[in-house]
Amino acid sequence: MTIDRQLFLHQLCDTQFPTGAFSQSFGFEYDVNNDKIKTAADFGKWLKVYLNQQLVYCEGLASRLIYEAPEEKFESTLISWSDALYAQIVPEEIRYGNSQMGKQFLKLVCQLVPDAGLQTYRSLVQDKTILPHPAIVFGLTCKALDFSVADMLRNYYYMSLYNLVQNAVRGIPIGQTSGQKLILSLHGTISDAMATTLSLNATDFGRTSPGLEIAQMKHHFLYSRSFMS
Amino acid sequence: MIKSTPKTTGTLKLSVVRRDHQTVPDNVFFQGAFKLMRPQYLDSTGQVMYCLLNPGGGYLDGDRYHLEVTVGANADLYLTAQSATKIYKTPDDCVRQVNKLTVGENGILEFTADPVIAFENATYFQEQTIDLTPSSSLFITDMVTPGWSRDGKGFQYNSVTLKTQISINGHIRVIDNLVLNPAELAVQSMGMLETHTHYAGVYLIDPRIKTETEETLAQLLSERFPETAVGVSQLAIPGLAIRILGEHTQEVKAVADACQYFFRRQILKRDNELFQKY
Repeated sequence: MTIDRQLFLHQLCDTQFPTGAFSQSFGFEYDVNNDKIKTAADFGKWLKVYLNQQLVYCEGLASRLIYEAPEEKFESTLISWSDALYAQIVPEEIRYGNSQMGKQFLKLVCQLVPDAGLQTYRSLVQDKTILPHPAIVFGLTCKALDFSVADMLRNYYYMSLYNLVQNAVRGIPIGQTSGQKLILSLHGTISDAMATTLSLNATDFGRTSPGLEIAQMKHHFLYSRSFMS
Repeated sequence: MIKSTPKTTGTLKLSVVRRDHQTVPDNVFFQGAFKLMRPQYLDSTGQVMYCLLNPGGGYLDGDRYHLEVTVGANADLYLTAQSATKIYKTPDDCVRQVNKLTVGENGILEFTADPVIAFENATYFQEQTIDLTPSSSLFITDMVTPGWSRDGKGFQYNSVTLKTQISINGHIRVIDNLVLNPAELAVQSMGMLETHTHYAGVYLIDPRIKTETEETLAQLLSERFPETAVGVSQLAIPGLAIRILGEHTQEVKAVADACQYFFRRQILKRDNELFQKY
């Protein structure tokens, strides 16, 4: 079987790719319920902070460091950055949501792409050494298909934001067209986020975003919820 | 510009141990700009209370502070500070504080640092590593104000970074990296401090904290402080993280104090009072 790398990347970034992302709002549902997000523009602002704080300094940086680890240090790097990634997620629902998504995503790609790195990751997850995270699954899959770190980051950020936009189209009064315009308007931001991630050091890891986190924490206590986080 | 490694401006080493029914100092060392008030016993719990002083009044450009606190097995320490941490402008360098806190088995540490007030053009880094055992108890809080500037606008500092890492038996379980850098991202923006001006972060860690504790504390805080933005979440270890956003130091401090009372009453099951400085 031949895998066309570009086509496979489309398949992976498709919001229909079954990772469970469709059931996560990462806290924006709380801000919608509390009228902090009323329009596509408000949602755009929320997405930018989410991207520039939580994705760039946490998920993006950790998956880049794992991607770049030399072969002999691959397993130890995978373990230490997986632990760090979960240690910096303070809201419980976000930890749970990511581990659920990571589990589903990892199981699926292991059946699609035969790769030693993914297999090592899967055994470490199966013996409960670490919790799976979608950012790392995505990173290892891109590495298996020989995509560069830059391509991996750009596409991971795009996929994460696109999933959230699609969820918002279902969850708040922004229409299909506004949703598509919004994701298009974020291309520059995604590119900048990728460049920032490439310039960071391991010591830059982690970003506390009080406003985002309070919404992510309070989501748990919402009376009626469409999303798991 | 190449700078020589700056000398430590203030060093403080404090270790306490349990002796009979009381916690007593084992080793107390301070030099430079850090001083400790003599230990006090505020109640009959045997907990020792120390108050940290910075007689200089504020932190100056290039200052380096080193704080090392060890709470022995079964020992019980309440460490607080006397006044706000003022960081004056740092045109050439920055101010850096390194805290290393260790709590032994069944040991208790309550550390309530005072609010950070960073002046116009100040850069402040605080790096805090906390080592616990599975039976240790910890209450810790950090507070950041909008700082001080001549025009009174707030957020005129270069950056305030508060990095905290909590490990249990050597495994990192919590990483908290608050970076407030107005040039990089407006502090009063969506997702950050939103419309608020003051931030406080609190951690409560204790093996007796259960899944239900999260809801009990969240409910208590939302009833008592309906106007303040407060989030409570359980950690991956038995413990809670609390994020607080408000408009005044007193407002966020009141929520942090309520968390400390909760820690004492509901978790440690004792009803001793907090030290009131003001």
